[in-house]
Amino acid sequence: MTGPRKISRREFVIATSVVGGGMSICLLGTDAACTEPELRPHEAPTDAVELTPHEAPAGAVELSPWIMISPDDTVLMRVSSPESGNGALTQIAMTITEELQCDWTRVKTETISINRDFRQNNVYSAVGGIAATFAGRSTLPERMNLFLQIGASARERLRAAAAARWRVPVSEIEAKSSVLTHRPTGRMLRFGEVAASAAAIRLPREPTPKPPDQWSLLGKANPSKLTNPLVVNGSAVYGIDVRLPGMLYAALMQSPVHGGRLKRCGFDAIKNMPGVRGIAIVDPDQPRKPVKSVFGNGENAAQSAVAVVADHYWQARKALEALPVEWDDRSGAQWKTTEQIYQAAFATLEHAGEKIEKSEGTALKILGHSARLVEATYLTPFCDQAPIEPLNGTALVTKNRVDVWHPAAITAQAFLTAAEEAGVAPQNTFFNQTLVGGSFGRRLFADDVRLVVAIAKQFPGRPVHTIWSREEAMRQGRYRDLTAARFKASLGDKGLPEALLVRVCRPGFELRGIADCPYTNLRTIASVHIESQPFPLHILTGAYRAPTYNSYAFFMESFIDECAATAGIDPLEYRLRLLANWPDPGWKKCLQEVAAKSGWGRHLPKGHGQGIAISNWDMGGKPRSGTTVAAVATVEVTPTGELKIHQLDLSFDCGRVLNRDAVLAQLQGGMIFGLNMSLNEELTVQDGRIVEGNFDRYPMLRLSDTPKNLHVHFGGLSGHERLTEIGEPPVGPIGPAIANAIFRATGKRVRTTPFRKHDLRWTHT
Amino acid sequence: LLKDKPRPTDADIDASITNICRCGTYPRVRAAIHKAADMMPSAGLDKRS
Repeated sequence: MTGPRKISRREFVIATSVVGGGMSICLLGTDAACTEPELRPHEAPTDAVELTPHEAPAGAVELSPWIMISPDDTVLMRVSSPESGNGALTQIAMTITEELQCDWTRVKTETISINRDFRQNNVYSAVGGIAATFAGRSTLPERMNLFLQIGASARERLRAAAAARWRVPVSEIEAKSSVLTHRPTGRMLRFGEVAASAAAIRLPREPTPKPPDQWSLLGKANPSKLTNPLVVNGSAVYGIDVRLPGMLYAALMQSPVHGGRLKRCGFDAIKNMPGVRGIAIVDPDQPRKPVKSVFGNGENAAQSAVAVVADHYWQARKALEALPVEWDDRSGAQWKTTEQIYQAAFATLEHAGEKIEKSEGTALKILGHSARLVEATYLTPFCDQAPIEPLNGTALVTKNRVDVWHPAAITAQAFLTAAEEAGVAPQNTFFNQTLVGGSFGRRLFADDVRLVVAIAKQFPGRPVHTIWSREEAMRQGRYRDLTAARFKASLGDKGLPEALLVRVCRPGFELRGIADCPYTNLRTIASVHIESQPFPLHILTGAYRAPTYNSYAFFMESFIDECAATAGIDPLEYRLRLLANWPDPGWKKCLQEVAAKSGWGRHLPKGHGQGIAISNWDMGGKPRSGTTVAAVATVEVTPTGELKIHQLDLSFDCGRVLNRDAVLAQLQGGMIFGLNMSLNEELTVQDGRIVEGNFDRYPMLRLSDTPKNLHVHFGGLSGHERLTEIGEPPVGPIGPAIANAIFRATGKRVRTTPFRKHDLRWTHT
Repeated sequence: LLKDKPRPTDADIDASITNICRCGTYPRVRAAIHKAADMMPSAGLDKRS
């Protein structure tokens, strides 16, 4: 199997699907079970599923590597961003359509072959590089420009083809809704009729895309997601839906204490169980030839694991449960309880931080003899992204080649990781990106695809579909980190902070929400000192929707509220005064919008309260950057301590909006995500192991728990030219808005999440 | 749900739809059920009766 053939899902045939002995596996330490899996002849191949049902009909012409046009005017766009339900695919198709001027109702999409990029001189990534091209984020300026250019270029070639056909000047041809019209004579040609001639045309120079104020689709129309019909009728193919001829299934178990190692396992005990083909052992200490991936080495490292491979998944699961396994827990087992970890985290805050993250003015001196101190300590726990599609993937390893079918969040990262683990060149790595059943950061590093390939390569010639059980996925996460911080402020004579000290334990990712926010930049608070303390733990961490910001916005906005309460100033008014000189009108606008729409300040009965919070994702300390979000929570706490969220209001400023409904969907979903994170989520530890394995112990809000009054308001938009991210921001202000509302309702300050673990009872006095 | 209750109330939906959605589409699920109920032929008959 050589040559640059595109792996077509429909045509996929396993030319090498044979089957002889698998390679021998084993061997960790002298005691490890040594097994040679014997592959029995496989069943007759069945039809492989079509992974991307949008296929161009016969006769389609490739105008560029990105665009195919069929005689019936269907436009097939190849999209390089994975679709995880966030609408990135639809947004990119809209952007190309804006310039191509094709008929939106005839747009189809498929995912790009990243392999082709390696085989054909970076046809896709020449501009942005593979890390930026084969990843999410549909509205970054570089990507917007790229997609607009792709559309404009194709349109100009179609116009040129029509002009040549009629022997008229190109300037007389108008392109609109897949029709080319010769304005002086009214003659018309459809895109499909000239696509073949257009494909042969080279433009003397590339056209310039039109300016944003002339857009007719972007920012004007709100098409629903192109994937919606597939999702509704069940034909959408996620990673877990992949079925291939001769496919085997693997059930996986990694060291229950992260960082541990497999000591031994007894294959003999299960080898005669129904359907069992063998076991695969993954040894993280085995030397691997590194390929440079998007994230550095380490995040996607293999963990010590054993998998049972069988004809069906349930057979593999049952055999794995029956497999005698012994683990060397290593150092992680020293952490007997969650409380022990929390106390150790708090203890680190007693000392000056090891690293000074930021220091402006004379904060420490002012705080040393302040007359009006506010001080508070906060903590947020480990949380799991818990995407509903469990981690999974399918790989077929043959001689010098690997084929992968996988729901990657960043195709480039998964592709390079698969190549590295298989030990083959990227040119011989064929990656089929499926739809993604949620990621929320869990699938970014591609640690999942590494294990998928590590298992499959022990059964060469057979596709192996590895599925994490829900319990395995939840206990073997790359979690939102445990974070603790102590805040200390001195209030000046107007009640506003004049000096702020923040000491953070387990800092992570640029301290987003603390070090990059308006309070700590441009001398909004004149003296700021931020320091951090590492606190190494064995538990693996990663990206969880809005990394670090999802904790730090809670800390910062709770603390600002505590300052307002100490100063005796209304929390909305307090923030407006504090941000009075901040040179970005979006902040004030968001606060005023959400306050007006939520009925801020209205009289509420005892036990009820409103809380406000404002934060920004990804601003990097700069005005008119990132996405600002302000929230008001209106809550009731019953005397018996039951918390009821009566209303949530959100305003936002991401500059401009390209698809109002898509933005609304992300903001609503993000609010509910932030709500669940704050009310419910906490992973606990026992003897170094994560305890929670499923939704019985790790609760998720259901439809009936979701506030019916959940409102997104568009009046905070500043109209600034940026198109910043919308998925992460709403997670930030929801928790602190609720905590601040609880304080107003009960006088109780909750400084840790999840709120469900707090005693909120109060008595009438 | 619509078979048993062609015009479900919010409470009916709360009681019947207990699926977990991590993306937080609940407000849209609720709206879609009401919309579907409006489109069902049986709902039309209800209206006429």
